Amino acid sequence: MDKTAFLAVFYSQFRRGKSAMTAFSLLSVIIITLFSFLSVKAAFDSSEFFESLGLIIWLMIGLAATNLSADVGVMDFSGRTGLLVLSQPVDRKTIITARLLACFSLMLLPLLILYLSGFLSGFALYRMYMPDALLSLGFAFLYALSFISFIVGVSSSSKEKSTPLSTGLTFSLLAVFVFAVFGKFIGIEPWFFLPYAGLIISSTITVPHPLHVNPGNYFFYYMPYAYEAAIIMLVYTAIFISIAFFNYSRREVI
Amino acid sequence: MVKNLPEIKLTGLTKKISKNNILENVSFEIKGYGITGYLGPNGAGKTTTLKILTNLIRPDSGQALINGIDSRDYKKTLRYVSALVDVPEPYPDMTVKEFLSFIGGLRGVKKDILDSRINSLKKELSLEDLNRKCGELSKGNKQRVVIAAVLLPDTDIILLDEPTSGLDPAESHDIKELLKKLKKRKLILLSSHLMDEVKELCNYLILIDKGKIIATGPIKQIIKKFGKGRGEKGLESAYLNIVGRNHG
Repeated sequence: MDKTAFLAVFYSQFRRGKSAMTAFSLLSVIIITLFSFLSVKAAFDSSEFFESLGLIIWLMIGLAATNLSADVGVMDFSGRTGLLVLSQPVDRKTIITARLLACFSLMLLPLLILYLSGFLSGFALYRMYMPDALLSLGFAFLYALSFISFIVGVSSSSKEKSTPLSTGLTFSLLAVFVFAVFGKFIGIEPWFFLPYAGLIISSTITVPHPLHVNPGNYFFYYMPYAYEAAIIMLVYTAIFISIAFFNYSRREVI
Repeated sequence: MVKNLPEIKLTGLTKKISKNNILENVSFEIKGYGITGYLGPNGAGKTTTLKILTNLIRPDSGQALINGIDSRDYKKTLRYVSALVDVPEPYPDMTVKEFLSFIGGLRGVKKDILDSRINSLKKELSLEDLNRKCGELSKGNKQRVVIAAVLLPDTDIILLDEPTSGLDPAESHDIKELLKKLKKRKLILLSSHLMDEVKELCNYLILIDKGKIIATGPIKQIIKKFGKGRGEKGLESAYLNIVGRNHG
């Protein structure tokens, strides 16, 4: 891989996403602060607080990953920039890899801020330290990587940025309804659905650990096991990175 | 050590887009320094040829060789080539300097060389404020930034697709003067509609129409054979005669 070209693309993508990253970081602090006030008002116990915190992180990852990476696979084909950029002697796989990793790097700061502010609030409110917070953070990183790979894969197959953008937002915002339909109503564990794997972020930090099947809950009827979540995320990452590589390398600038 | 002369060779190049034959068995060869004009009506296949040479699209059959290397091996061939194809645009959110540095980075140009190249291109192309965002530039200024990006790597072969389009007469003049200097040490393939520009800059012509090469030769020979009159008029009438004959 051409190191200079990789760094040139990585930094350009990083610069492009910097303002979005700052906005998400600020938004994270605001959301966690508001959420903490609301949980005091609603008299949440520690379990409810940390479960909801995990779900906020899960939702924020989907939204931020979509926002940061929706244009990665399509930007040089939908506009006129590719005419110059893709006629350089650089392996296209290097370009897409650098962009994908830049998006992932951009996610790290908002994620760390979400965890830090969330767990500090939790500690302040409940004097409780969550031993599995680091495991949850690890899953959050993996979920961010798999969500970015998914969006970049969709983006590389799209004509316009609006397609990956709407796909990512739909996946993030309507996920609980998909869980409900496939879970409680149809009785099928939605293992094929990436946001389902992301629920592990919440369930890992919750005390007591939730059951795999929760008959009393419409929206979270099934929760993934840790190994199951990891496999789903890794499979999504592998499949959609392959799709992105294939499309981006083969696609013509007509 | 004697440096090999730059060379472009197309053999039997064919390309269909949406079932339309854009290129049909296109073959030509250009070797050595100078500017070759690539002329033809709109939709003749000029831009498609340049896109194949720069790996923006792939041919259905045939070969495009650059310095003897197949253009499919684009990481090698594009080291010798810098191209302005169609109407490219710089990233709107980058400043002019960031964009030129980005292209330099893709090419692996070292920082000190890059800075001096950017400064010399700033003078030669009268680039305005390097810290301005590309998205805020006028069409003409964007075109100059793109030309700067094309000239930045100092390659042996330059492909230019209507480089003066969108520029005012003074800006076009500057570009033409720059090309006159460059033609002594580069192989330039210039696609253009402007007869005076072609007449002024080119030594050799390739005419394409409906995806087929319809005439090639030194510019004087083409005017003598097909044209009536002298100068631009001679070239214009030669062009009209050749294309008209192909359509008739």
